[in-house]
Amino acid sequence: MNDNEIIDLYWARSERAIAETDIKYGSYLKAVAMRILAAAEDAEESVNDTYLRAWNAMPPDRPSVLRLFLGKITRRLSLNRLRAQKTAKRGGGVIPEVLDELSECVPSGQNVENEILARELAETIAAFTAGLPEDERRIFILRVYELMPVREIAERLSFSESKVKTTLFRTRKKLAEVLRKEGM
Amino acid sequence: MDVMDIVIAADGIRDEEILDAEAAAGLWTEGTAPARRKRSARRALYVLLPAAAGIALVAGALGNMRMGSSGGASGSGAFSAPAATEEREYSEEIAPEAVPEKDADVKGAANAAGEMPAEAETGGADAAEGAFPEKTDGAVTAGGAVTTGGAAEGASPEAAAAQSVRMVFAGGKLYVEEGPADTLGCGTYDFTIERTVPETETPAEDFTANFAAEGGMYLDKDRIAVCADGSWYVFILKEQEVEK
Repeated sequence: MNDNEIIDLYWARSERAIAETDIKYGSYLKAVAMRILAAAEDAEESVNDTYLRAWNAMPPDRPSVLRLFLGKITRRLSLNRLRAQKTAKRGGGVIPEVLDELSECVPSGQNVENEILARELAETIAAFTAGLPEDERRIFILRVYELMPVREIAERLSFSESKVKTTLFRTRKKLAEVLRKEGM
Repeated sequence: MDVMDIVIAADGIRDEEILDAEAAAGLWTEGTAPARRKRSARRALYVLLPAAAGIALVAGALGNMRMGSSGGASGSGAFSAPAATEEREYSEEIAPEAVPEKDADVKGAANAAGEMPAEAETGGADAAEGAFPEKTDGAVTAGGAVTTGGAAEGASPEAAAAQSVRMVFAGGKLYVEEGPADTLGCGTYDFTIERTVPETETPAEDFTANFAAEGGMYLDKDRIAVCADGSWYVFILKEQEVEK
């Protein structure tokens, strides 16, 4: 079933929409959640919550890329779950590593609670990412958005690990500078 | 601001850029994961045909070496051409419904990844770097001849040969590739490659290469072995190579 047909099922309020979503994107969404939570049960819950959110969002939403739409919900829910569990530093997976790397970019330990600030930060990150050279942008997205291990990025993009590490280091320095200038 | 906020804020990255990165990495295919399987197959071919590729490389280097010559653009086109098949295959598998909507962006991404050789020829160093490992694919596709499979089309033979030379600068000396070293397995390095320059450039600083190398070891006073993508290649001191 193609994405438009699945979205039509959501709009028709047919429960088959969930089943079809699970068939097509279930394993992908579990993989996204597992990268963040590193626990099968938690990942499963995140995926189920994703279906509920999707059900509530469509209608009125009609995403142009269903896979990304669902993936972003799962990602956000999993990150929130991780934060709620306060296990970011103790948990497995790639997250603690990525957080350690990014810690050099942020000046304080305060969370962005305010929705407006969070949105501004998202816009800043989006603009920053868009301005990066192509390879650097891809590496940064795979690391920070996909939360992929350095080794896997290197393998998938056919770069050496040292190149990926060096590129990420440079990108983080640039990001720290951008965030500092933006007063974040 | 918490570091987690940055990770969460990465949600704001534009869809087309995420799709581009995913396509470049061969991620999240709807069925299986062709990119990984194909890369494994490619590695197997590295073992089967390294000699042919090495001979062609050395022949090209001996005949036409022009270190650091300009014309990187055509080089990127040359190497990226064989990559087109693979990129196109998994670009189509990834979110097929997204491709028409993001046509312009996907074209841009594909161009850099080598999907459109004619346009990629103006791509510059970034495209060249990303496309470099596909070079051996080109050799395989063309039945062992590196310079066929569209590699040199549109570029002068001299430029194509010059750009196909892989070089490493280590211990204050410049080495050029001689050929594969089949008997070694990647293990402990005497040195690691710390920087990579575009393939069109000649490395000039210690432990720099113009391709995606990992590390290497000294074999004798004129030769080193360099590990790249799980295989070892012998590099010879540049002066020695020229004398030959």
